[in-house]
Amino acid sequence: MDKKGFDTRTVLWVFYIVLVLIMTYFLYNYIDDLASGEGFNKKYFVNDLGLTFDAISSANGDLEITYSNLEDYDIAFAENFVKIQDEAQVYYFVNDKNFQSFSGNLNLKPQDKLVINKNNNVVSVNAKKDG
Amino acid sequence: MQKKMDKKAQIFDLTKEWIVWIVKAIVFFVVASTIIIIVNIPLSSEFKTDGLRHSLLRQHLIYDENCLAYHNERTYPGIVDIKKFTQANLEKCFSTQNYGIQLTLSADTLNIIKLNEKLNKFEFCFDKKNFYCSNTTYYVLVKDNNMEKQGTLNIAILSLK
Repeated sequence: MDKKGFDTRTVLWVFYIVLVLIMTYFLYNYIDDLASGEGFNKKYFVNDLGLTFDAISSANGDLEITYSNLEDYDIAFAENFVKIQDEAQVYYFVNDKNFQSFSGNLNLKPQDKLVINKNNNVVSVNAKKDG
Repeated sequence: MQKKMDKKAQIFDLTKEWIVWIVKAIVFFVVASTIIIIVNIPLSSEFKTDGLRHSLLRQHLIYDENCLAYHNERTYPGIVDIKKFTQANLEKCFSTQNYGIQLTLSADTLNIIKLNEKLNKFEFCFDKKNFYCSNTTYYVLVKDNNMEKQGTLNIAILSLK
């Protein structure tokens, strides 16, 4: 009987420790994401990029906008939205059908520059190596 | 008699154990939730860019030669070309499923155009909790053939929060 009781208690303690480890892991990731500002950066970047696309169509004339100091972003551009892949961060902008807009994916590295170019009614987006 | 007493004691022990477990679970969730809430309060961030978005979209309508701005060699922001104030032209230059727009151009006559009927079918901005609305009137010049007339352009925009 004693041996059986001892076994149950051991199993319970192992369960407690596993539970604490799982909770610590998730809590650490959650706090780290908030404290490091990684989630905030992504949200900010997508909003900024989307607002830029909304502003581009009202600009009379050609323009070029360059983004530098980027993080490791995998961005998807479509007819009316820009989003960071594998994230819930998405911005829907208004599509001007008079423009030939850019659609596709760009994988940006921290040393890259993102260049948005408006030439007549054609909008292009490119990733260029910094420097 | 002894057997009955043992059984009663066993049931009592089992019930007591369950109660202890429930109390432990409640304490565990209260502590976990408190930690998450305490961490979340100073660090959570929210972007409220609705006002800025609406402002950019209004500028898009007024300044863009593809939308309403009069163009003759160069674009004249603030002068509305009456020929461009059509449903087809505005749907082409302002294609969206996320905004409901109502444009009211008032010069000699009153012209109203609604874009994205899906969001425009209700009374404008009936639900301020779920929608962000803006309503701005501009004094404009309306170019009608070779005549320039004074008028107003009201742009009402509705978007989901």
